[in-house]
Amino acid sequence: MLTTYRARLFFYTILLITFLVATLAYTYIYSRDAILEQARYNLSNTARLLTGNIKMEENGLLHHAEMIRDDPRIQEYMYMVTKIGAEEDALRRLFKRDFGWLPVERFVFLDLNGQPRLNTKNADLANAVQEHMRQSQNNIFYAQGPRGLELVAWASISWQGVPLGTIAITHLLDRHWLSQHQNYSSGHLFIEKYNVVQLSSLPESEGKTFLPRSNSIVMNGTVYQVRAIPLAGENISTPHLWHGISEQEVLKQLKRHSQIILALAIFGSLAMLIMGLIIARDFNRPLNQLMEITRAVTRGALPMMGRAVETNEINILSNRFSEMLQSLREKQEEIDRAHRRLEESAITDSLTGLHNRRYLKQIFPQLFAQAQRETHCLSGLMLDLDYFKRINDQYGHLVGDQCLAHMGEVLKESCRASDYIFRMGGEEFLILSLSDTTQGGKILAEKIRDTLAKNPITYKQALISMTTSIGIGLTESQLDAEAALTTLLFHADKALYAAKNNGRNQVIIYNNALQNTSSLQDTTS
Amino acid sequence: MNTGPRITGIYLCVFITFFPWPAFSTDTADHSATDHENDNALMGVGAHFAWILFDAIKADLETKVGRRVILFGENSMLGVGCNAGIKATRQATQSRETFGFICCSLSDEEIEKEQLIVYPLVKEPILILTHKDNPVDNLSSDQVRAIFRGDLASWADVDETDKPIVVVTRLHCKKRPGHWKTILPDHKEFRQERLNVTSAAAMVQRVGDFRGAIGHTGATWIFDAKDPIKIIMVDGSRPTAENLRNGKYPFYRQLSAITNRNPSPDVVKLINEAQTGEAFRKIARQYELLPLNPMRPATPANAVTR
Repeated sequence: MLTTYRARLFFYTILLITFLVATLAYTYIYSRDAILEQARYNLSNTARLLTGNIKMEENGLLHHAEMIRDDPRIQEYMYMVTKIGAEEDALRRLFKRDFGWLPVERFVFLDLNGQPRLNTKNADLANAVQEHMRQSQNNIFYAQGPRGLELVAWASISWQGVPLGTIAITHLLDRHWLSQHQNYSSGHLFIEKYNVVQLSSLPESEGKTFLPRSNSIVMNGTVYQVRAIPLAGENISTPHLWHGISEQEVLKQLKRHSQIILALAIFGSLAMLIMGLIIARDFNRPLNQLMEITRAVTRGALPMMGRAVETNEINILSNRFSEMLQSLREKQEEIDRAHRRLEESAITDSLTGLHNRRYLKQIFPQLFAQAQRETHCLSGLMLDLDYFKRINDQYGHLVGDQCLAHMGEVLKESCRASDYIFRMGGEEFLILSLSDTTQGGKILAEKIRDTLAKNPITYKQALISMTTSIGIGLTESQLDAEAALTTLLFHADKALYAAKNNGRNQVIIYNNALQNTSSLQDTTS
Repeated sequence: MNTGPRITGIYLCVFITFFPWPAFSTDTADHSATDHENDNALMGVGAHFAWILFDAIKADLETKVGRRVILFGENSMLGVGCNAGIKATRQATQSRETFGFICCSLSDEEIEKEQLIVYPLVKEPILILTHKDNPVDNLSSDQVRAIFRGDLASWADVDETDKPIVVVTRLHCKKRPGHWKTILPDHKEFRQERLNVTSAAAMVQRVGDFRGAIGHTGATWIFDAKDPIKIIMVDGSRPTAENLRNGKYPFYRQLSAITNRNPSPDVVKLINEAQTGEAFRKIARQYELLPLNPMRPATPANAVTR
């Protein structure tokens, strides 16, 4: 169980995928509460942000009102209008010229009696300002205007210490305003008065009852999480602003979230599976190759192994193994060469370069079999240099060695390629020759004897002539190879003895008459 | 290590860097030429209304005097006015030839204190302005004074129009005689409930804003055709040079040039040209100004040194 690394790798991949899927599934299942909680937190944060923005807007409008209040020309004109009785148009022209750029919905100048001195059509605004001034010192408040709820800022104007009246400017809280502020969140804004929605960025909620409980309200079957946005000068009779987000929208977010989780799970699992398969494949292929190669090596083979691009550890290992095999092959070849050299030296006579007696024993069974198979006559020519001891005694052993080497050369030149020449020891040589007739050996022997006799060697300007006696034995086919060799050597030896006894430098073929003669014992050769 | 060549190289670099090479710098040469031209210029500083006259004949003056003339005073609101003219005059030196121009007469004490010479140029009518929709085209000088005093507070007092009068004033140079003082000699006499402005442009704007407004400004002010104002007659007389000469138009001020007690000959020549030259007469006619000097006398005429 999991004993191989491939199995472990596969197991780890499956384990990882399972872990990923489990984690994402857990996140998916338990994220609903977390998301709802986060949505509530975001709602509070958005409410705070909106509160800050609206506060800034209130202060901005008040700042504009104060800017108008502090303008000396406005003060002078106001004086002329209210105290001298000059026409209001002059004040209107001045206001338009110097403050026409202000982003205000409506404006009105009130005299000290609270009567509108400009824009009498804005008498409602003048009344609202007057009413508010009676109740509060706050220069900012909200009032219902003809086009909707308005933010009102007012400031008292005086000139050289003489109170002149009041300037009031407004900013409309319409649908455009709502949409501007709604941009800060994905929820909705509700302007509520007396528990009824007056204006909303969700038009279908307008005119509906608005009675939130525990910061939530159900409208049109939808649950909204709501937060109050405090407005300046707020009281029970003034409108209230609420920011709300429907739980369905939150759950829609959750659904989007879950879809993302699911997509991630599928994509992640597939990616891991593919990655695992790729890794397993990349791991498997070189591993199998290595295993086959090692199996072959254990069987004694040293197979060739291709090189891979070294992109990973396995490929590097394969390449190192390939190099190791190459190195082993080279060593093996070296050993083979040395072995061949050793074998050759074991069966070769170092002085003459001819085969030695050891090789005779190796090759004879093969030749014997060949002769029997092809019904050829296998002759054994036993040669012995005549008077070789005298040469040694007269010229020394070095010259003797030269004579033996010369003899070897004569034999090589005289014999056919199919003949086998052996140095049996001392000045004694053996030739195994396959021929069609028994006379083949005789002819070869005569040729050798003749060649040697005619080719003396030169030593210190003196010619040293050599002759050889040759005895020829023939194999007997009824014997096995070993016995045949013993017999052949015996017969050739007998014939050589006879040649020596007959005066040397001659060839004698073994016959039965020679069977009882003594072996060659002439130490003088 | 041989440091000789290195030290020689350093000395050479320092020499090349700090050697004065002005002859090869065209920028420096141009700059010097401009500086020289400015240094050699005659400089006039002062009130807007007088600046208009000098600026109009500037080319003629430069030709006549043979010097460049630089004038400051287009924007009196930006700190250039009578006081700046007096200050520039006081700071005149041999190498800095300056003169001033003022829109109001100076007292003898101020002339003495500032060590000035005053060169009267022209009398400029003070225009009485009303809104163009105002049906009144003529007021007596007493009515004008009464209105500015606040004795008359409604146009109903001089016409049938029942509209409150909005007085607009520009009471600068309060300590100097002349100027708006032909209307009322003391600023304290003016109606307290009034709009006081700091420039002629603001004056025109204020009068244009109120249909019941009345204001004043010098004749050299260049009006825009779109300004909703009009110039009314006083005592049945239009604000012309002729009516100033024969005394029919009562409101005026005197525009003058000023120098220190040792003016350079070129400055004197320039002012003399302004006082008596043909070009100046032409511009005076354009604005209905009454020149205070005869044509081209040999020396600056009517110089007041005390």
